[in-house]
Amino acid sequence: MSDFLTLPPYGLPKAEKDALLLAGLSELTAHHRAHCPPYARMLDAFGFAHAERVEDIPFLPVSLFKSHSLRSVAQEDVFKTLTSSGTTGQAVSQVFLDRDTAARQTKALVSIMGALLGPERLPMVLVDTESLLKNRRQFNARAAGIIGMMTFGRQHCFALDDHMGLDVDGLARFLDRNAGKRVLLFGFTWMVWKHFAPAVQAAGLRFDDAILIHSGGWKKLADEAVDNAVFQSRIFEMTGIGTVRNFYGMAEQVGSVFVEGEDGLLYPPAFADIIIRDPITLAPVPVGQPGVVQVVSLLPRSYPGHSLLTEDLGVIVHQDGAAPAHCGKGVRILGRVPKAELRGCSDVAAAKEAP
Amino acid sequence: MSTVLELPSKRPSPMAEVLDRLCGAPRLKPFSAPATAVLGELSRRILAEPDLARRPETAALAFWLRPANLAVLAKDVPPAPRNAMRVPAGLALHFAPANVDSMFVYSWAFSLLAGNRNLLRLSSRRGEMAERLLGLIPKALEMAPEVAQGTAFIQFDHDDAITAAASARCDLRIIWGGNASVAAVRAVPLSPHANEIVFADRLSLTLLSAQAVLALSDTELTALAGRMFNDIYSFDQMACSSARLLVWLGGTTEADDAEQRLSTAMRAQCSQRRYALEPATALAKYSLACRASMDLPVRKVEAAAMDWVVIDLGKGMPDTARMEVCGGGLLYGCRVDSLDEIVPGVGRNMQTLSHFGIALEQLEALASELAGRGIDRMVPVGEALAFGPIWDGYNLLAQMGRLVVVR
Repeated sequence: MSDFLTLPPYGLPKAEKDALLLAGLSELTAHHRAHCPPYARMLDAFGFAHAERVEDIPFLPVSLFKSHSLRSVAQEDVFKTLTSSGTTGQAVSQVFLDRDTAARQTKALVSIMGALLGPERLPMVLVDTESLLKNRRQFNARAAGIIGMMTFGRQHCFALDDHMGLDVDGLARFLDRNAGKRVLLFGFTWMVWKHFAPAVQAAGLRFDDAILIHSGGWKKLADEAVDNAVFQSRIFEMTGIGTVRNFYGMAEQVGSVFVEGEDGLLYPPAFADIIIRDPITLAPVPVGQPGVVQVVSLLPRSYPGHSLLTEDLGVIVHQDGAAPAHCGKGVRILGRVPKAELRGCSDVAAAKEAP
Repeated sequence: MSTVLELPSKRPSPMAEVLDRLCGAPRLKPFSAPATAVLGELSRRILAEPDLARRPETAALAFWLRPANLAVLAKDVPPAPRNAMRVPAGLALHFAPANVDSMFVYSWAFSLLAGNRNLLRLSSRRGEMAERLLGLIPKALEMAPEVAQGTAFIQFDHDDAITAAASARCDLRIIWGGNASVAAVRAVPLSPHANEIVFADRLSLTLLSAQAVLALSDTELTALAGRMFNDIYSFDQMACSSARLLVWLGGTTEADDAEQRLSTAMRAQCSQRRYALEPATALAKYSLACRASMDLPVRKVEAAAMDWVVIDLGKGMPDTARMEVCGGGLLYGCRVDSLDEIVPGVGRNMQTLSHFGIALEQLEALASELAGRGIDRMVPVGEALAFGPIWDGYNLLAQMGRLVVVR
């Protein structure tokens, strides 16, 4: 069933990958239709029969995990519920995982990170606070991300304290102990940028041979006019970290992450893909044309998250252009779809402003 | 005392001074010559701006403000009851809506024609069209200094003290902007002598005879779609009188066929008229259609192109309380076999029923059968946005004045 997880993550040429995805996604669509009644009602309403191409697979707006409890397994088989607060902390996404789907997510991440880091587990710095993991009741996407990534390192060192201050002594000890060795760092983009790198520089600490993996969105950095290139060069200046790799992923498709290649583009693994849609007609657009990001993945079986329409904008820069190192689509994420302002007769914002 | 910005100059003025000026302004009679002169001049100035003259909403406004139309309007004022005469209310305080940029002019014009002096509070979120119209008003006011002195357009951020000061001195308070605005303004006391006119949240529908739509030639269908486009898309479907519910009169097959014909024609209108759907609105519409199909008894979703989306709820009138709306050309659809079936589904919140292919007698019978449940207007498709002297159940000109008994 999950043989695809043994495939090399960036080794499939387009025709093979499309065939794998079409078959797998069609099977998942039928599976979720049979086991998730609200999802079935949506497919019925839109008149979905079958897909000739990957692009024909129905796509669920990612926001529906905020408004609806969507699962394709019995309540008693739910072994973990992931929540994400999104950006503004309003509605919370709920993602229901059973053991099977959680295991597939882990395997998927092992395959992707293995390709990036090699078989050996490196000494690891987590750019976050350890107390994040203590409250297991609030098992949010940030904690899940940290725990998921911890597997790929050893001798874990949490770099920040509860007040987002740098644990200078702890980090200095870690660097001493691992002098001359390659180390791994993981953190959320904003935390690395705001709380970690400047404090590392101020403390006079330096990484000689290190790889930083980071994720979590560019919105706040874009506000400061920081793009990927600026981020990489400034991180190097401040910390000495020579290899910086971003990845794109979301709580609604954990395990299905698109890691940055050497060319700065993001690459979907073999069992996942990205489709760019026209932001107005929602029809698929060709390579090179920006639009709304749809993500598909063969991982989600316990909830209907195998084909999601995000609220992000992106562009496919090339298809198989970095083969053979990176088969597949090279993607750039361009930020969020800008908010619309339709002024209604009963507009709450207007009412607030009204006297 | 708090300061407000006078428009269009945005000159800061103490609220007390603005109120003093308005209260000291000369009193006019209903349909006074100075009032019609100012409105007529505004009409000419709108038509002198090529882009405003071309836009349907501003063209309709200019047409409505013509002296000839105002004369017709004067005749439509219901005669005062025996032994009574109509006089102005005094000072009217208007809270203009943010969504329909031309509406503040109508609110002002009606009140001015009723003989009132007017203080209008405009939203700081008003659009570019409102700004253009505001820009033309000072020149029009030059026609009549007595009207100018009794007129002020202002803007201020949320401040109950300003609202309270104005509410204490006005004789009539007019609140647009829906339930939340009405609730917010009503929390501020009004002079005990004053009257209030409020415009709550409304939902509008369009009633189409499937047979009549199927009988149209292609040219006639295009014309119908064009009128419907104006009703629905002029203010991104965010005006209260823009239909959000499409009711087909006819059998299942007929209604399906007619809807398919109409949808094709509407999509053609959207692309011909270059309706600029924003990406976020397209996504909001798609998400809403997905949510609705999970939560409501949806028969099918028509979303071949995102600019025209119909969520078909099947037979009978739907529970409108469960109809989430988002604007930008998203409608719910349903089908009825006879007009009687509409009655139980109509609530107080329903405002405009725009119709096509339904006989006037049938509509009169429907209005009578509704017996005040809801629906304040029944107008042909294409006239949903045409503002008129009778609105939301009010005869505005009558309601904006007072009656004096003399015998």
